[in-house]
Amino acid sequence: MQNFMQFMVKRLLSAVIVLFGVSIVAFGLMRLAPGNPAALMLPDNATVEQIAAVEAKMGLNKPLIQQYLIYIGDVLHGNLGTSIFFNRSCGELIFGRLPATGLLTFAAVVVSILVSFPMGIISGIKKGSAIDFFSMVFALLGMSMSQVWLGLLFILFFGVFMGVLPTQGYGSFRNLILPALTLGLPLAALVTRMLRSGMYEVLEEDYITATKARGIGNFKIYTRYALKNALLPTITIIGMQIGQLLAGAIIVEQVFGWPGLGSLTVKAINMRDFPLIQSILLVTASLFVIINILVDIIYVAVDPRMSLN
Amino acid sequence: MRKRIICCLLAAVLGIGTLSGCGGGTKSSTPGTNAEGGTETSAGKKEGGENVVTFSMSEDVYTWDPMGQPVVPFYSIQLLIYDMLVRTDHAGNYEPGLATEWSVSDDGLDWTFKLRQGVKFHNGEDFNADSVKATLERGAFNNTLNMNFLWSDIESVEASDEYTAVIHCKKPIGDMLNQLTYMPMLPAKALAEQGEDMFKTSPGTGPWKFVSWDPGNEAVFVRNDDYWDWGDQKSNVDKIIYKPISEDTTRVSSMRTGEFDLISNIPPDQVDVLSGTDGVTVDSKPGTTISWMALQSGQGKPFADKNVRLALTHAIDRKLIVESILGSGSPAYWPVMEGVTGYDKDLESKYNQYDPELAKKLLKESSYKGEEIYFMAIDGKVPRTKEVLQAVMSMMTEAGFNVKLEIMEGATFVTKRSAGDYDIAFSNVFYNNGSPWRHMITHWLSDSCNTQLENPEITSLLTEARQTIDRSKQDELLKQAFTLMMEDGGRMCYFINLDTINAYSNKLSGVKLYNDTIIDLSRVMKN
Amino acid sequence: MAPLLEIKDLHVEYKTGRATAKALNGINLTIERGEALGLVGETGAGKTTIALSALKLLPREVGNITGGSILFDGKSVLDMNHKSLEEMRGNKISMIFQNPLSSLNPLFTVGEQISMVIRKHEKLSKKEAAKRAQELLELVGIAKYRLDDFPHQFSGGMRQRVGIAAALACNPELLIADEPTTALDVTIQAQILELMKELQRKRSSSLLMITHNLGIIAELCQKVAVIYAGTIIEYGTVEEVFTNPRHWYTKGLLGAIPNLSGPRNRLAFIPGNVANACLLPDGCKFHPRCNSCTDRCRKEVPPLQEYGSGHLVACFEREEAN
Repeated sequence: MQNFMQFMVKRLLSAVIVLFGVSIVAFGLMRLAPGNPAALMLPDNATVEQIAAVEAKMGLNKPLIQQYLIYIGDVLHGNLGTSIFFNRSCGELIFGRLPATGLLTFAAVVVSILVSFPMGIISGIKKGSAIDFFSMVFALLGMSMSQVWLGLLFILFFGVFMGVLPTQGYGSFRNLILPALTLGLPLAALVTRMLRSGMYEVLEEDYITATKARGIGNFKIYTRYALKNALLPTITIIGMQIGQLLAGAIIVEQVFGWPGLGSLTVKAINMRDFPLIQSILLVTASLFVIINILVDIIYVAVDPRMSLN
Repeated sequence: MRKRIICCLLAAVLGIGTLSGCGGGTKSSTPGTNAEGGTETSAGKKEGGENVVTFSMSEDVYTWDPMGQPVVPFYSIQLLIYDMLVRTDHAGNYEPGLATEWSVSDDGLDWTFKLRQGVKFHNGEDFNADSVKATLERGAFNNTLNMNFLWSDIESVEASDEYTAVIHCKKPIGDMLNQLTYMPMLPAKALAEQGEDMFKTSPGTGPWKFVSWDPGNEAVFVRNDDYWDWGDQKSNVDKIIYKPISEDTTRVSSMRTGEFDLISNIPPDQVDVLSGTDGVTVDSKPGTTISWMALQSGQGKPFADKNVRLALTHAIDRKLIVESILGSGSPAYWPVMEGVTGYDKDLESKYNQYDPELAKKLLKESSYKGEEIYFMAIDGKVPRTKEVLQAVMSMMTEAGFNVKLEIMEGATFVTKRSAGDYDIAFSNVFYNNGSPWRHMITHWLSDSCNTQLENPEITSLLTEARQTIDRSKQDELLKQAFTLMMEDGGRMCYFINLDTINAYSNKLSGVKLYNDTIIDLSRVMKN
Repeated sequence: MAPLLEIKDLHVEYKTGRATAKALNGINLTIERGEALGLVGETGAGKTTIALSALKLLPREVGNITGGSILFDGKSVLDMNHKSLEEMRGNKISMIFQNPLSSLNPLFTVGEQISMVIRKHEKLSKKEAAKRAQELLELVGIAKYRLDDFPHQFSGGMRQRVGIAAALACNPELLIADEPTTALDVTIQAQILELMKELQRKRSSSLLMITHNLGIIAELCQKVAVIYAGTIIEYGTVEEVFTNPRHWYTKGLLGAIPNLSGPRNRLAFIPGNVANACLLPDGCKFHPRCNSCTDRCRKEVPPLQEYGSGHLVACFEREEAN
C-alpha cells in the first residue's frame, strides 16, 4: 500500500506540472493566432473604440501576465472562467457536454471491444484462414474509411432506407447506436490488428507450448492463458484512444448532431473564445492524465513484472 | 496486493463516471420538458399526447441577446418569443405590431409610437413605453453591442405617457421602421435588474415562451396561451423544438425520415432527393443573399486601377457558374436584387455582363503587370465553394490574371480582411426584411474590408439616403449610388445571388417562408 | 511387458517457406516402464523434436509428421483425438522444458501454473489444488509460502524446479526432460541433477533424459541412445556404450570429453560441421565427417542393428566386423 501511495503522489505531482504547462501553452498559443475575439463579436465596421470597449469588458486589455495569473487564480478556486461568446461559465458549458462525450466514448469502446476481440483473437489463432482474411480486410477498411463517409452511410442506410434508427440527436439509447458504431468501428479495426499479432506471437511462445504439454485445452489457453499476455500492449493503445475520444469526436459529433466536447472546442477555437479554449484544454488534459494513470495502474495490476515505480 | 489495486481502480473509474454524469444537468434554465431517455421527438409521433414541431437549421445560437451577434437562425427564432413594434411582409410593407400607430416629425428627428395596451411579458411585466425606452436606449448607448451601429443615431427615447414612446434622433434614420421589425421589445425591469443574465430566460411578449436551451443540442419553446394576438388562429402546436445540425446531408436525411418538420439552408444538389420524399414540400425561391468579392484598391495594388476592376467583373461568366455548378441562384448584376430597396431591373441589365474580350482588352490597357492576385475565401459562403471559386479562377486566368486562391478558417480571414491584407476577399451578406442598409452601412459608409477605395460621390449619396425616410426618395438615391458603384467597379465586385431553399412537412400550415431566409413559425399549425 | 513408449520409423519435417528441414529420418526408440533413457546428440540433431512429437506438440503449421508411428502404452499417439491427447499430456506424459525463463507464463503465479495441471486432470477444488501445489514445491525444494509468487521473482534454477514440480504434479508414467540444466550455471546444474536423482529414486516412472551432456546421462540413466541428423546411430546400456562406443560419432563424442585427471591430451574433435537438416547427404548421414567412409556409406543408409547384449549400432563397418 505504501508503494501505491508513493506512486499516486508522484503521478499527481507530475500531473500538476503537466497541467500548468498546458495552461501556459493554451493561453499563449491561441493569442499567437490571428483573430481578436472582441473584433469577432462586433460587426465588420466596428470602430477601434468599440473593439477596445469590448476588450475592456472581457478583461482582454490587461497585460498578458496579469490575464494569465487571474485565470490561474480562478482555476485554483474552481472557477474555469466565463466564455466570451456564450456568456456562461465555462465550467457549465464544458461539464454540460461531458456526459454526452463520456457516453459516446464509452459506447464506442464497448462496440470496438465487442467487435475486435472475437475477430482479433480468432484470426491470431487461425492465421491464414478465411476468418483471418476477413478480419484483415475489415481492419484495412476500418482504418481507411473516413468517419464522415461511414457516418453518412449509416444514416442513409439505417435511418433513411430502413428507417430503424434515428439519424441525429441525443437523448435515447437509439440515438447512441449509429454514432457509437461510426466511432467504434475504426477503433475496432486498430485493436483487431493489435490483438491478432499479439495473439499470434504469444501462441508461439515456449510457455504456451509448455501449457499445452500440461494438457490444458485450446479454448482455455485462448481465452485465459494466452489472452492475458496478448492484451497487454493493447491496453495502452486503448487507453490512448480513449483519451483522444474524450477530447471530442469532432467529426462524428458534427455528422450526427451529437452535443459533445468536440464541437464545443471547434466553436471556441473558431471564435477565439480564449477562456473557453483554455478551460477545455485544461479539462481535456486532465482527462488524459487521469487515463494515463489508470492505464499504468491496470498495467501493473495485470503484469506482475511491472512495479509502480 | 493486485486485488487491492484492482479495487482502487474500479473505484476510480466509477468515480469518474459518476462525476461526469453529475457534471451535466447544469442547463441554462429549468429543463422543462427536455428529451428524456426513451422518448424521441419524431415528427410523426406525439410525445405523450403533445403536438410538437421540430425544426432545424445549420447553426446553433450562442447568444440569446437580440442585439448581440445574431446567427442567421436567430432572426427566425426571435420571432417565436418576441414581438417587435412594427411588423413586415419582408417586401417593404409595414403593419402594426406592438405599436398601433406611428408618425414621424417633418424634420425626421422624432418618431412617435402609440403602443398596444394590455400586453404582458412572459415574466409578468407589463409592456409599455418603459420597455421601448429600455430596449432602444440600451442599443443606442451600449457600444459593446454588435447592433449598436444601427441605433447609435438615437439621442434618447422618451416615455411621454404610459403607452406613448417618442424616439429622438440625432440624425434622421431612414431605415427606422425596417430596423424596428427585427428589434424585439425587452422588459425594462428585468433588464435593469438582471442585465445580460436576463437572456438566460429570454422573456418576451411573443406567442411562444422560452423553456430551455441545451447548447449544441436543442432549444425548447412552449405555446404561450396568454398571447395577445392569437385571434381565432391559435396554434394547435404545444411545443416547438429547435435543433441545430451543421452537416447538410444529415439535416436532409432527418427531414426524409420525418424527424424534422422543417429544415432550412438546403444545398441545391439535395433538392431532388427531398422533393421525391412523400409528405415533404421543398420551397425554393430567389433569395436576398448576395455574394461578393472585396477588392483591395490601395495605392500600388492591382485593383487600384479601375480598368483592372472592370476587367475582373467582365471576365466572370456568372450565368455559367449558376447553371452548371450551382444549379440554383442567379447572377448578380447589381448590388441588390428584386424585393430590396434600390433595385432596378433596367439598370441591372447594363452591368457585370460576361464579356471576355472586353476583359482582356481592359486588362491589357491597365497598369496590371501580371502580379499575383491573392484571392482569399472561407468555405461555405456559397454552395460548393471550392468548385465555384476554381471556376472563377480559371475565368480570371483566361482574361490574363495571375491568381492564387486560399481557402482559410474564419477568424484568420476576418483579421486579414480588416487589415486589408488581400487582393480579393470573398464573402456574402443577406439583406433582411428588404433593406440593404446593414451591408451599406458596414461596407460602404465604413470601409470594413479596408479596400482603401474612396468615392466621395457614392458616400454622400448613401449618407443622404440613409437619412431619407421617404421610401421612394430613398430608392432613387440608392439607385444613383448603385449606378456609380457599378460604373466604378469597386469596392465590391458583386457575384451571385443565392436562392433560399427550405423544406417542410405537409402536416404543417401557417408557416411563412420569406425570401431573406427568415422563417416565421409563430403561427404554425400541425395536423 | 510391452514397452511404455515405442517409436517406430518416425519421420518429421519442418517446412519453412523456402526450405524443408528433415528433422527426423526414421527414428526407432523404445522406453520400458521404470526405465531411464538418455538421448544424446548435438544441437539440431532432433532431440527436442522427438520429445514434442511424443506429445504431438510440433509447431502447428511448420512441423509435420510424415511417417512412422508412436505408441504410448500400446495406443497410437498420432491417431489420438484432442480429448485423449489433453488427457495424456501433463498426466501420463510430462515434459520439463529447456529454458526455465521462457517456459513459465510471466503473468501467472507459480502456484497457479502448477495448480492448473492438477485441476485439469483431477477434480480438486482451488484450495485443494493449491495445497497440493505447495506440497510439490516443497518436494522440489522451494519454500511453501512462495506459492503466490511470479516467475520473475525466482532465479533460473528455482524456476526450473517449478517446471519440475509442474511436470510431476499428476505423477506421470513418463517424464521427458528436455535439456533441463543446459540454461543453468554449473553449480545449479548439480543441484537440479541431485533433485532429479532423488525423485527418480522415489518414483517408479520412466524418464527420457534429453541432453548433450554425457555426464548427466552417466549419472541418471540406464540406457542411452545417440542421435545424429535425425537418426538413432547407437543404442545400448550406458556402461556398454560409454565403455565400448562402436559408432565413429559416439567415439568422437566420448573422445571430446576432457580428462580431469591423468595426462592432458589434445581434445579430440570430430572434423566437419553438424549436418544441415535442409541439405542432408545421401546414404549414411555421418559419412562426410567419417574417417572410415566407404562408397557404400555414401549411397546406402546403414540400419540400426544389434551387435550383442542389446547394443545397437547403425554403421556398415561394424556390420562387416561381425
